[in-house]
Amino acid sequence: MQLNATRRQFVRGSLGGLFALALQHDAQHLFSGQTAKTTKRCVVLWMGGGPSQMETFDPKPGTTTGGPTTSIKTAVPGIEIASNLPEIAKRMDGLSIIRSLSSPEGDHDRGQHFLHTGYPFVQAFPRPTLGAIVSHENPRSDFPLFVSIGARGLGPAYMGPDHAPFAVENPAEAVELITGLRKQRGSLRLLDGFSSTFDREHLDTGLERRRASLQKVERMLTTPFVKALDVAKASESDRARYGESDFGQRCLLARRLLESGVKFVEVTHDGWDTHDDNFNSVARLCSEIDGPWSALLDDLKASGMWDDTVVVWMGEFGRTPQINGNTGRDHFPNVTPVVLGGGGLQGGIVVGQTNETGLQIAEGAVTVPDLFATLLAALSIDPQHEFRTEFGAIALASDHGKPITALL
Amino acid sequence: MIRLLLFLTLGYMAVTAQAADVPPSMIDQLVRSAWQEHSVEPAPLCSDELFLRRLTLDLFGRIPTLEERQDFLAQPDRAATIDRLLAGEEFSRAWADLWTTQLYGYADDSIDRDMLTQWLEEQLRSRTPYDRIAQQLVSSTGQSAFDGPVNFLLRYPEEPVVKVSRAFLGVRLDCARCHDHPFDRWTQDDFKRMNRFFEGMERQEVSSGNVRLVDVVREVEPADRPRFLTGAEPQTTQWRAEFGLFMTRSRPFARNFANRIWYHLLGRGIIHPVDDVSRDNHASLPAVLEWLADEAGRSQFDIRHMFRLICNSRAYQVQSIATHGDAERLRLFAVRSIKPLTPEQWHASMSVAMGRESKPEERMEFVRTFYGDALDGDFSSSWEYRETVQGLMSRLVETVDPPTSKTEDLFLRILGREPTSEERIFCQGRNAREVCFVLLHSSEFAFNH
Repeated sequence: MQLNATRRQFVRGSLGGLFALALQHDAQHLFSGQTAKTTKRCVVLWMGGGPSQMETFDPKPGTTTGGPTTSIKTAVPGIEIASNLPEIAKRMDGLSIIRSLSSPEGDHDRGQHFLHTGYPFVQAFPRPTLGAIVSHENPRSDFPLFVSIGARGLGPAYMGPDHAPFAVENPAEAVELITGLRKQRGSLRLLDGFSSTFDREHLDTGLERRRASLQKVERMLTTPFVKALDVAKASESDRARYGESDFGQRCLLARRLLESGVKFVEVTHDGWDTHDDNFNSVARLCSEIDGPWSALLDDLKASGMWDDTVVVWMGEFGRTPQINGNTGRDHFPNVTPVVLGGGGLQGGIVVGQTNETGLQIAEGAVTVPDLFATLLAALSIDPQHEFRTEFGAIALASDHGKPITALL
Repeated sequence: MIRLLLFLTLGYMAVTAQAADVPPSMIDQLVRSAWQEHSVEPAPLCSDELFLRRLTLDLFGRIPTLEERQDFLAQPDRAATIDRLLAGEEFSRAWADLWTTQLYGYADDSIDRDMLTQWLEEQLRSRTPYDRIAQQLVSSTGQSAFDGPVNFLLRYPEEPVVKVSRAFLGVRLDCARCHDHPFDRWTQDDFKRMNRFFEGMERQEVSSGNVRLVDVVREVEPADRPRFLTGAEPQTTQWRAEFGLFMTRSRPFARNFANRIWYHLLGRGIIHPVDDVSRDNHASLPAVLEWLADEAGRSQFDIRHMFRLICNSRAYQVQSIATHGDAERLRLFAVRSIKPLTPEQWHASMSVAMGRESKPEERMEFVRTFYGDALDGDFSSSWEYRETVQGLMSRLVETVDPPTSKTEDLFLRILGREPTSEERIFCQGRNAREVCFVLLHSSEFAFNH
């Protein structure tokens, strides 16, 4: 088997993710139930590293902690955000800001787990990421319903490996893979015929799953999903509006995937861990997301998908109002910024507020489980839904969170 | 006339004596009586070439070469081959790799997975008894960059008792972490006090990439002292060392040792799942398990002895052909369960079949792609099929350079057998590249059957 020397590994993940994917042979049968219900779509823009709320959606100009960051008016009277995000400011009527979300997890891995699953990390009890839940709560399909762009994505835990994210680290490589596989279609059909005797003569769930996976790969090759992956085929105007940057390409890919039927897409943008040179770094990072994010919002509205697609912008935690010795801000989970919109959620409002310096939450404190309950409800999933893990425990979709009624 | 009768009688006795010369082993006797008790008919023994494939995969982590296959078929002495492979270098390496994966998984933390593997390999090579290996894994102090065994506990800073109980006692204490165990008799208090043995551990950064594990003496109230699940409490301040002794001397430890090796070789534990020994999870062949646990003690936890016993048994060597309705026969080992090849085994086997070298970096990249994000999971049950659809896709797209163009040779190299007449027809007119692709990605190659 010749391994092309220039082929980089297709799935090269970010480190992190401390899950135990505990499986028993019989788990398959517990969770392979066909569901007639569907959920809304969801796109999560994940700001890896912990985005500074002070330089994005909760600026404090003219205070001891505000730094040089200035604020600008938005399309919503009374709401101002940092001047770093001018295009988003114009679209504020569709988005809502949560300024009073507090988390206890200041460690990257633990924070990432918490904001992806709604549960604190416990080694003995793996929890599924939101994308896996959404994938599970939709009817089976021939293509992945949960895609992670730009990072490997967190695991499905007790939802089972069928709901693991399809990871697209690099859109160009994904296209290479699909093109390569298309060439093998004849061989894949031959393979199916050849293995059928062995498959018939042996009884094993692993064997069945592998056969099912092979068939899934074959069927996937003719789905719209595969065409959507080919970002290079996008129109000139699309490529112009999203730009040629990594994040731009990823957002364009996200939109195409959502259009083709994928239910949950997570787009990662790294670099937000600004312990050093915070102001310049965040300004640059914001300029990288401002355009593509706006293009995504515009397209979702124009194509009529807006009311069925929940858009979430967040990271693992916020950053300290106090500026450190390297002109940076450190981890501050006490204030974790989240922006939501679409999917029937209320837009153009602010939930809660921090005090003048941003060091404390002044009113409307909510927790990450509350956020999750809100997201689940918006996606048409009951937050009280009880899943059963493979070791027999009951797992609630949300960790006793209370949905934020102002948003629903 | 009398001389003729005498001659015939003696001849008859000689023949029966020869047949009775090899008495069935204790395992075989016990398994056979269990089969009779359940009125279950065992499958016939597998063919010689299939036996060699199973054995080489199980003990060396790869399929046999063409030469090894030819040599064995020329003189198919199964018992002698088991002895030979157990004495081989590759056995220590393959098993050290497999155990590292079970104990440590693949997580990429700042501690030294390779040191752990190297240490395990040394112990296997020098025939260290299993209880001593376990004792060291649980109680060692030292530095991660130099002392292999400390890397095991350093990997699980939160409640190490969970991993230790599963790995060495087969008991899942996980649920008892937060409340009294719903399915078994362990309470939350049991959990806390068992974990206390490990609460004296401290990690100290020596340098980047090197962590020291030491024990610090802690003062606790008598009601909070460490307590093993049997009720035993330590007499000294060397809590972890005493834990190791309590553990290795307990009956569940011996049973777990036997059950885990049985699971590895047969694809299914006598108690299954292997790390879930509980009130509700019963042994399918209790007499066999108890005898094996006794034997573990009698042989002073000699690892190769246990392997030898099980590989020589009928249960190991029966065929795996099964249909719906055979679930009970599978449970009782009257039919062999099949096991997926781990990605390491698949890569090594593919290299053997293609006549290529299995380079470590290539192998590691292959493993990462195979598992995708399941790489962060728990690998203590080796025979779960964990390949992601994406991993499969990446594999299927790679180009294959067939080592030979003859169909028959490809079958022998890859599947270790000759093609059937239907298969010959199936492959007629197809190019070698395509045949090679089909064989390499077939279920038959991907499973240890």
